[in-house]
Amino acid sequence: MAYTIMVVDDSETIRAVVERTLGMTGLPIEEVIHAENGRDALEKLRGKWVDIVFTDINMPEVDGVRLVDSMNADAEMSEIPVVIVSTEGSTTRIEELRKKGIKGYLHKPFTPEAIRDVILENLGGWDE
Amino acid sequence: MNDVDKKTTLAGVIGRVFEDAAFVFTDVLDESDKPAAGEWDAEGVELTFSGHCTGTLRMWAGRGFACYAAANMLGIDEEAEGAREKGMDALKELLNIVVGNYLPEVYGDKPVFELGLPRKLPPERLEQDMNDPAGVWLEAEGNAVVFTVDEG
Repeated sequence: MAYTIMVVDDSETIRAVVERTLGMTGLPIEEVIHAENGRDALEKLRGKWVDIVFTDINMPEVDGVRLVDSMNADAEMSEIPVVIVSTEGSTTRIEELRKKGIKGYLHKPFTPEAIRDVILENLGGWDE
Repeated sequence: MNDVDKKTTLAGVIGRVFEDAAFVFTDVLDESDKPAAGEWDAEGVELTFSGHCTGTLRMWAGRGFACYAAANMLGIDEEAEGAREKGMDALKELLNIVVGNYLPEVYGDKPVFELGLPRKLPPERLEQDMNDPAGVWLEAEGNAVVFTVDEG
């Protein structure tokens, strides 16, 4: 089974970098869905199931924190693991986000191994 | 942490971030190699932070570096159209990552900061930043790069 992954970031370049890094993990990835902010992500999530969401925090319109809150408030979306990908390094902030139920936190810059590990932690292995 | 230590810390963070995020190696730029004011064709970005304290980091890089960094980050050829289009995005993201790594090194990993969105700098700002005595000058793949910090 291959993964469907959503990447949420207001920068098209950064979404492309994350997608490239996902490709370097060696994991089976069926599709990478791009969203340019939390509002765009929520609209796309209403129409399509994804296995995991990687999201930046700092985005215009609907930021990463509001995205997490909105997903938690939805019965189906709350089942989707959310991983924050951010430059912010405050342990206080990370703890606040963990209390909201995020399933991982990747501090930039991150390696393909780090993103691979967080996917496997949350989604388990795959049948080769 | 005093200003000298902050400058050293910033230089170290920039070097690590450029290498890890953009696969670009940096070196300290000799005073004699600094571009002359009025003759440097550079692009700049800034990011303001608030929270535990307030401040702004600015970065200027020789034009051409942005394409190079974007190409490296995307794994494409520097001459590809995608690299040129995404160069400014690459500069903004590099600055974003530098700030995100600099602040915890200076203030510890507990304080919370709010990082603003990176913004392109107007050309009129260049000379002021070039003349900042606290500026951190580096050479990155043949391009001069300077970072300045204003902290409240």
